[in-house]
Amino acid sequence: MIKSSNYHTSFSFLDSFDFKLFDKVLFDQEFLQKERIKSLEYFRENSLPTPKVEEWKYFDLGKISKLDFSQSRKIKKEDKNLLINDLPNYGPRVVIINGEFCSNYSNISSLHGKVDFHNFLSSDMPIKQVNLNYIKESLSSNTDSLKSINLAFAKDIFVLVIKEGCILEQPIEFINISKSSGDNVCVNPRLIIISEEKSESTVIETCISYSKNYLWSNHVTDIVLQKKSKLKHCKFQNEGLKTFHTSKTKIKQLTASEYNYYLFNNGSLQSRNEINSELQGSNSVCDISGCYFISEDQHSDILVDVQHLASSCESNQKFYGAADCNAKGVFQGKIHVGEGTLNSKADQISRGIILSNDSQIFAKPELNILAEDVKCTHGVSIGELDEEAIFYLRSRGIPEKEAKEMLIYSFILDTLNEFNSKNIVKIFSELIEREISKKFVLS
Amino acid sequence: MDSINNYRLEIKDLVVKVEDKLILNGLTLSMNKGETHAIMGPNGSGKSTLSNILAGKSGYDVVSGSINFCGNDLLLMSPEERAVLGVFLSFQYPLEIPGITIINFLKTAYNSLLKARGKDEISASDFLKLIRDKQRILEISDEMTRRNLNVSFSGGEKKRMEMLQMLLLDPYLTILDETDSGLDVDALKSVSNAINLLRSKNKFILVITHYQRLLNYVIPDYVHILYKGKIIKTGNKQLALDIEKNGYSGITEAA
Repeated sequence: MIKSSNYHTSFSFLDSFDFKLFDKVLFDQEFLQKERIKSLEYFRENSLPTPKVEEWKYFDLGKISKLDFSQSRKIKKEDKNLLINDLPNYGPRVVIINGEFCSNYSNISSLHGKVDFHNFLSSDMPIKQVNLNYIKESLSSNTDSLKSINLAFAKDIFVLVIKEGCILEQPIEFINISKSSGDNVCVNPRLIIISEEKSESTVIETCISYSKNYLWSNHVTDIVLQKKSKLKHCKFQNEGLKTFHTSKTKIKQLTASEYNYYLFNNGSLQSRNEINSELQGSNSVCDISGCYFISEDQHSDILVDVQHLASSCESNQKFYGAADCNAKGVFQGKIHVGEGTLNSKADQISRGIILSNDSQIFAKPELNILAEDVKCTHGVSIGELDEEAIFYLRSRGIPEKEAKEMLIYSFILDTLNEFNSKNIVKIFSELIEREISKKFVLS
Repeated sequence: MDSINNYRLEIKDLVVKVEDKLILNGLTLSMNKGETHAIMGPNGSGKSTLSNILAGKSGYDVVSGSINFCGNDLLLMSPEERAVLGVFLSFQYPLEIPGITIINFLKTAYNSLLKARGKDEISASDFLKLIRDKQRILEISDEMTRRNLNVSFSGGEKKRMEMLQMLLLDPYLTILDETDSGLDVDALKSVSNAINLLRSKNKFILVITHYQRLLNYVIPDYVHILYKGKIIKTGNKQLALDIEKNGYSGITEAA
């Protein structure tokens, strides 16, 4: 019996659970099978939460719950070629189409010896015991509807290990492509990143989709940063306007680790990005920032939850967005400072620009401070573009639309300026500039 | 095209309100090409409103009157169309815009004007040459043009940046809204130098100021006193000197 705070759903894909999917993998098959079945059962019993559940207050899964979704089918090679050819290529990359690994289009050979990449269905490399423990933790079933669907219906499981002490200059790109040509399709990519001790690397996730009908891409990414490791993790969500994007990123940080996250949330009809970091080891730094552009009937919901569970950690949350037409943007930022921790520093700021009469932006800072030795700040501002500044630029001959684009760009760039990588700043500032002129009406 | 209008700025009986408050009350002013006019007046007389109206700022209610510049009805034009026509306002308080470097801003503005005038955009190297010429006049370093537009600039730096924009865009009608306020003597000389350079090219220059000190360096052909939204007295350079000595009260009381 489904609770009244949850939706009833009747997704076709629930009947196509593949019992034999991971039968031949090197990993503990019995464990994986048990967890997948438990996840399936959890979802059958609980389905999806409604906005009555506090953390779903601003994001209504109702539209998804009313639709029917199937599992994705195999995509023809010619179609794959078409999907891949237009993509930028920054260097080493892993291409995943509808949750399945595409070895032909992926290339990480240049990282040999520094990085191990496993995909459960075809990889035969052994995995270190310590990393196996992390993977098992990630693949354990839990009481979360979206994670349960993902674990039960992920078509493969990807593990990226950046090896101890390795410093990677070039970013590794994960390109997630979702495509449906017939039915509504649900895709469940699952990625685990293990940043071993003293390693330094950059990972860029790009999410795109092509569909005539509805598509639901439901991502789960689990990350572990071991002692003194550094990971820069960026995501460009640029899925089509018939796609629902739900994503849960969980980061576990051990002592003196440094995690920098940047999200550019641009696509999808409805998108929900949850980023949850647990600072488990002291002297760690966690920086979670990003921006969103929404227009038409888009809805972007970003939920950040940073947990200071050890002393002398620093965290920073910074999200800016711009909303046009009927779009709705939400930022919920939680800071938790655990009991007994010392010398914690946590900052949070969210800002938004409303570009039309009907667009909306909500911000909800939540601070839960259970320790005394804490420096914590939070701030929110939501407003319109500065008319004086628009006039200033126009008075120099710059047309109104371009003047507004320049001001949005200058506003958003503030989220990227502090990102500690020139390469990433360049890639994302160019993406941001390009999308501003494509996206907003601004007249 | 050979009508006399083609070489004149004609402001006729301009009545402007802001939120029902009368700011300009039948202002009439005409300028010929090549002339430099100064408008002086006490606080609240409508000086900044006049400059904003000329540049096309919204938020003003033009009740009646007209502004004709070289045969164009300015009041019907957007700020960017006026810029294309050659109207330039040097702002009293130039805005700080983080995230836009001066060099990019200047290039975008310059190319916007070229494009609107049906010309090809300038190449990056030609632009650099052009802007460096102008920088030299104002003693502005390359380092400064790589900074974000007016962000953390001193009052003097902001005004010099306005002058750099003016020299680059080479306008026909320049309105200088209290460009002299907050400047030290050296900055005042540098700013005046830029204005005089433009002046020598037979343009329309309208200097709006509280004080006469800028007029020591940029000598006006006419000086007008604006009071309660109207020009109440017109004279030459001597009028500005009289005001410096005696204040506005003698003139405003007579009006």
